[in-house]
Amino acid sequence: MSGFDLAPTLAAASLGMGGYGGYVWPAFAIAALVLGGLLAQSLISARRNEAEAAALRAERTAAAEPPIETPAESLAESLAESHEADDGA
Amino acid sequence: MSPFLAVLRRELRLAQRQGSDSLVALLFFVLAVLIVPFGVGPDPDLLRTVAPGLIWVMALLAALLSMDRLFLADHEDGSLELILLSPHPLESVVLAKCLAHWLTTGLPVVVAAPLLGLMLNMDATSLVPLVAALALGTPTLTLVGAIGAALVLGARRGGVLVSLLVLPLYIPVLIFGVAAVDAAIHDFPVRPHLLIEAAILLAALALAPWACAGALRHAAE
Amino acid sequence: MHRYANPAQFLRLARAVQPWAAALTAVCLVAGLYLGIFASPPDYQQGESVRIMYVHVPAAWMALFVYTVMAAASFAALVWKHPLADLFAKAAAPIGAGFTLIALATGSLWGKPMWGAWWVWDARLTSVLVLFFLYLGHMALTNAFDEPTRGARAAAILALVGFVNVPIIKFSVDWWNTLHQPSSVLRLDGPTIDPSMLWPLLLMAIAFTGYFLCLVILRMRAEIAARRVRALRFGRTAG
Repeated sequence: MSGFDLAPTLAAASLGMGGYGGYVWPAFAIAALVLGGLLAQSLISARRNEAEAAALRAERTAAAEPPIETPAESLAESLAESHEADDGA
Repeated sequence: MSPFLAVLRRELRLAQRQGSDSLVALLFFVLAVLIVPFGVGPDPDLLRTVAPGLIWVMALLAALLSMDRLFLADHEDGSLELILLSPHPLESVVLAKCLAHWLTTGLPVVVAAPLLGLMLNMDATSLVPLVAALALGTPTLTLVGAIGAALVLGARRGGVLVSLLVLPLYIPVLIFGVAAVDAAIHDFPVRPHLLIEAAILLAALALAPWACAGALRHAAE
Repeated sequence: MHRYANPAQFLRLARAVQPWAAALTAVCLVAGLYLGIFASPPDYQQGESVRIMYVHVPAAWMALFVYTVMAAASFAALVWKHPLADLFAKAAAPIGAGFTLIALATGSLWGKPMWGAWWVWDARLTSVLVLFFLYLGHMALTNAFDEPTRGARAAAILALVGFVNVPIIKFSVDWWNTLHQPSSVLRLDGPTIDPSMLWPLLLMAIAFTGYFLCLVILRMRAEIAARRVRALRFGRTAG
């Protein structure tokens, strides 16, 4: 770590990047855009799918099961469901 | 009769009865090459420069054109299931089908290539390496394409998908095929390029039937 | 390994790992960007434009790394029929394509001032472009079937075929043309790059790897939920 000049160099801090600002900043911007876009898309689809799965499961438990269940039963059910998801997939 | 020969005979007979498929691939190849001078102009020097690459690219596209049909008919009419149920190794059946495909679509392209080369003003001396490179390269195109054809069985838009999957994998064949002809034009030794092309063919011959058979088994599940 | 074949088990593990991966990514990203943009010296030949390296090179590494891991996962999916390996390959492909796209775009932006052209048909650029198309083909094949498992298995075979082909493509493209600077970090006789540039580079590489881990967990969670929805819907119509 000895090679660092930890005080920001003026040339770089002045956004112009020694005349290369027009290339450097777009490069960082494109990377941020692609990575940010992937994150947003993944977050949205994870939220939506997990909410939908929870809603469907709640609907099914409400229809078929008595409202009170023991923790052991709910664990067994969630495991059975995940196996089911395996088979169905 | 061995299953390999039986499948080969069946495929060739089918191709002969239907006729059109292999003829269409050849016609496409000829037409696609001959339409290029209308685009780039009739300058003989320019045509001579681009001819090897042009013929190779069009041979690639012609090979792709009929590729997705390789297993499709068998998949649709259920023969594929019967082939899978038979005790014979699926790999040899795949190999027979590939050979039949090459004989009906690859070989005509190889035969037609020198004629097109002459029309594009290529030197007679560079026509021999062109034919040799095509003869070594087009079977690889068929073998690699067969993997793609097996993978897309049952997919939506299978035909277009095969091109998307297989074209990047064709790049080495194209590079060394064109390099062989260019070497002949510039008086460099042609042999190394042809040897590499042959090595790629041998690797494809060893690995492609195997990958293809795996894909077919998954397709029929 | 099969312990985590159960999605419920995997989801528990994922929930535990995710915050740590996110924290690691954030720390390394901030440190790497600071060192890369402000605290590292400009190159004596390339001037400030060398800062593009701090996104370009890690992105190119990730492009290759993700494809390698995908091929390994595909192998596991085909040999042991591990259900999560399928999910992993499907989740990883778009991220790998994203990193490849970044490597291509930043490479182009770096090439313009250095080589005077937005795109040159040099060997490494061209092989990365081919890798991008391999990713796109993988994604297209995965999503081309009505039955998700069928798509996953076909894509797994394609990933392995592509993986065998990548060195051949690389070799042939090298043969075809080259004017790119030789690789200067991964060499047997030690890196030739100055430590003040190596540190931000490595920090960014760790940040990108952590980011990949976070994204892949997120996408796998989304896919598991999607398949659960599918199974529940199917159960409802059947029952």
